[in-house]
Amino acid sequence: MRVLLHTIAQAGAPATETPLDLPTLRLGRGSDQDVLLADLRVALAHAEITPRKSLLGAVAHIEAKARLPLWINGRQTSGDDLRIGDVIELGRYRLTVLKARAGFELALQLEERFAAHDERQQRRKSLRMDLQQVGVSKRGWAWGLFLAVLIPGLLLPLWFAQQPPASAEISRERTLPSGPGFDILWNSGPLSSAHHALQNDCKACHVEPFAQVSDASCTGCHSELGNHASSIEVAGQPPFAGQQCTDCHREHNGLTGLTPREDAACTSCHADPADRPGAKLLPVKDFTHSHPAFALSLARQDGKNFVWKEFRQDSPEAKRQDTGLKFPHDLHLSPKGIAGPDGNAVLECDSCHTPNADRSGFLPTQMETHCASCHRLDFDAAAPDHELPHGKPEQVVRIVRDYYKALALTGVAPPLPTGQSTVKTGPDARQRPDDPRANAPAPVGRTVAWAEARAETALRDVFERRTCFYCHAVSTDGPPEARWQIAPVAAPQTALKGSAFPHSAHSTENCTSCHAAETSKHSEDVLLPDISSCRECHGDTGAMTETPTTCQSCHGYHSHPLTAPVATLPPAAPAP
Amino acid sequence: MASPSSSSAHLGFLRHAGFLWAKVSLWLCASAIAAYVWHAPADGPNGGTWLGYTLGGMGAALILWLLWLGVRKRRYRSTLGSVKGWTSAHVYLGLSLIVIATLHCGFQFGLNIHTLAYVLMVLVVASGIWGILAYDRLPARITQLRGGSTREAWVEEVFDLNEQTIKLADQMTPAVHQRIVASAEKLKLGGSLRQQWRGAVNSKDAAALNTLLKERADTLLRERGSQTFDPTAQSTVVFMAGQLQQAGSGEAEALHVQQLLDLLARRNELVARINRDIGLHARLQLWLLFHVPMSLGLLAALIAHVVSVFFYW
Repeated sequence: MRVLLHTIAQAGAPATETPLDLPTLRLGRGSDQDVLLADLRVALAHAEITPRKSLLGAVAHIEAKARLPLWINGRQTSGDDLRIGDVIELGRYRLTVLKARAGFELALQLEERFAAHDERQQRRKSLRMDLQQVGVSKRGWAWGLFLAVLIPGLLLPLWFAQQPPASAEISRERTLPSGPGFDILWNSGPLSSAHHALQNDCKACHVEPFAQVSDASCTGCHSELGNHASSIEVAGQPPFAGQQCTDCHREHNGLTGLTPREDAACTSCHADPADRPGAKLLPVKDFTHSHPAFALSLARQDGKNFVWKEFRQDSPEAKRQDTGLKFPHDLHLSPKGIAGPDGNAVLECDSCHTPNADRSGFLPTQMETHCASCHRLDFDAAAPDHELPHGKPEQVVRIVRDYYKALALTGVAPPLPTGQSTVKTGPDARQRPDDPRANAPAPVGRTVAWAEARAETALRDVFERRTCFYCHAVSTDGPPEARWQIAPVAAPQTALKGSAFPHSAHSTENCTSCHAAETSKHSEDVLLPDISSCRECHGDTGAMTETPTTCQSCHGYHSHPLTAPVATLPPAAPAP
Repeated sequence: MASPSSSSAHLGFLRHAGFLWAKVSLWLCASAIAAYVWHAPADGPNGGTWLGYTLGGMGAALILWLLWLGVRKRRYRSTLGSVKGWTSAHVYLGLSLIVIATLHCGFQFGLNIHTLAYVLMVLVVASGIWGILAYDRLPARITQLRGGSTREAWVEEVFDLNEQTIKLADQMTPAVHQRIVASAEKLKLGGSLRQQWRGAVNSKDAAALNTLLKERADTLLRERGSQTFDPTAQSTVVFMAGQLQQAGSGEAEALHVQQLLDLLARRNELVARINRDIGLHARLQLWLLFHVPMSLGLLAALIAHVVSVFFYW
């Protein structure tokens, strides 16, 4: 093997070339070696380079001969084929494989990496004894982490937020995105359950960047909300003027968090409403101590009409209201019972008061449904099936007169008028035992005069003594064509206008534990319980034993209908 | 927190100006807690109430100021307070940030950029506490370990000892020489982060070498009297040394082995001490590898948090 050895005695000096022709090139510290490496760390016979045939042609192969490490290109090895550019390190010597000139199979450059006296300094320099030398760059990690947070946390959502939304419409018809966008990372907290569908659609509410959510975002869907103040005058002034939905309705505060439940939301104004212009309000600091007596809207007769006036429940006026009816609750609810069509019957409240569909209240009590089974509208004991229509005095007069005229002429009771809204009752419908008609004599010598007289008697009986008179006030001073006038009856209305009382939430209570119906003798009696009755069970939030009750347990906020937003109404607009 | 022995030297910044910044920080926390308890917003405590905005603004300002320490400590010419004072304020105000930020968010957490900012802030503060603990414990141990000497002197001595052992080993069998050279080459002083942190040791190699040498010594002692010479087993130098010491080459080698063992023991002890020293210094600084990068991560999360809450106001 012909080898050309370039030896560089010291850095910068020209290389001296030594051609060698040997079967094996021996490297070591021993004096018998071909390449002498005077370093104590090099073995006497450290390594040998021999020519070898391989698939790629002839190559030089280096083989470690001692058990000392052989470093080629920074890798420790026991032997390897040499390629051009390979660097073999032996102690402080370095052998580099060069491209061989013609006539040589191998060219090696031998140099000292550092002089013997420099070695220690070089070694010292190569030691990594400080944390700053381990290649962990604080600065690199810092900027890396900075970008790792900034790109997904700010830049991607920002880019996404600039994209046009799936739907620009703010209404219930809005097309929702199919999945979350990058801006989901910005979601500061779960939306309220009602808005949960908008979880992936930030722009459904956040329309303008860097602008607070406006009322338009809310009213796009919630278009039929009432206002809080009852009059435009009040609603147009502070604190209502300029108020925004988001002042009270704070989103991203959890599934149940959208409507403020704290009493402070109400009492911040209502505790001291004196300085609120235009509002005639009583101060309310809490429920337990300072809530005023309930305001009841009670009927008052005004001529032939009724008007509803508001009275505080603790005033004497609030003890009664005009109904136009006679109805003693105590008599009907007597525990001994009351005579009914099937004999003695003990009535319960729900005999007449039927809960409505959601059981929050009751259906109106109706003559036909609730009264007529006992209170039959017949007028002649001999013809108990002949009943009069309810609520039409002129018809009653005509029917009774016609009945007796027909009887006088034909001797046969006329058939019931078809299509007449009479009260249907069973054939064994009850007659009051003291009813004189039961013993009325059979008509003899029937004439028109007889019929007139008989009708007159029956009508007086119906209107002035019995049938109508049991329940209604009847006056007889009407014009001749409508002599009997039934006093008007007030249509039932909810007395508590400012609150909602859910009967269903109180279904475990007896009716009479709140309503003193069992002792009420007159229909004029107002049977609503007062606030002290509520306070037996309900207390403020934080109460020790009472059921915690917030303002919103009974009261709503958007309770007064205003057809247009306050801001768009002229100041002088009349209250609707 | 600080033991009296070390705090005076290395944790002096904690007592700076009569705990001035500790008091400021405590006052800040107490005010924030009082305001939080007194303030009862209708929608519950959160970052969007006026107190939430106030505490958030304070927290953001604090974070930016605390980050500024990284800049300030490099400005040796600055006359705006001492680095000691800045460090004191940095530590105490940094700790108060936990209270301020927690009250700012009103204990609302979620899988979002806002909670990421909070978590990063907690991690930064936690790594800062780690740093204080490190500065409390480690300097005393370093002082004790060094015992008046320096690491540089030890390193020089290790180099000397290495050269001596190689020279000595060169007079012995090639096997011993190879092992000694390999041992000197493999010697680990410091190294990678893990090696510095754990205190790199070559105990396995050292033990194997010791065993080899001791066995050789035993063999030589046993062979005394029946000296046979195997030219293939011994180097020329040893052979010549053996020739020169006609009295008994085995005894001469046994003496060398003994010297070698002494040198190696001294060297290995020094290496272990240097590595322990490196380890202690690494642990004194390691917290910064977390504290500084996470601070920058926190800065990014803070920017994203502030921009996002006002972008989607």
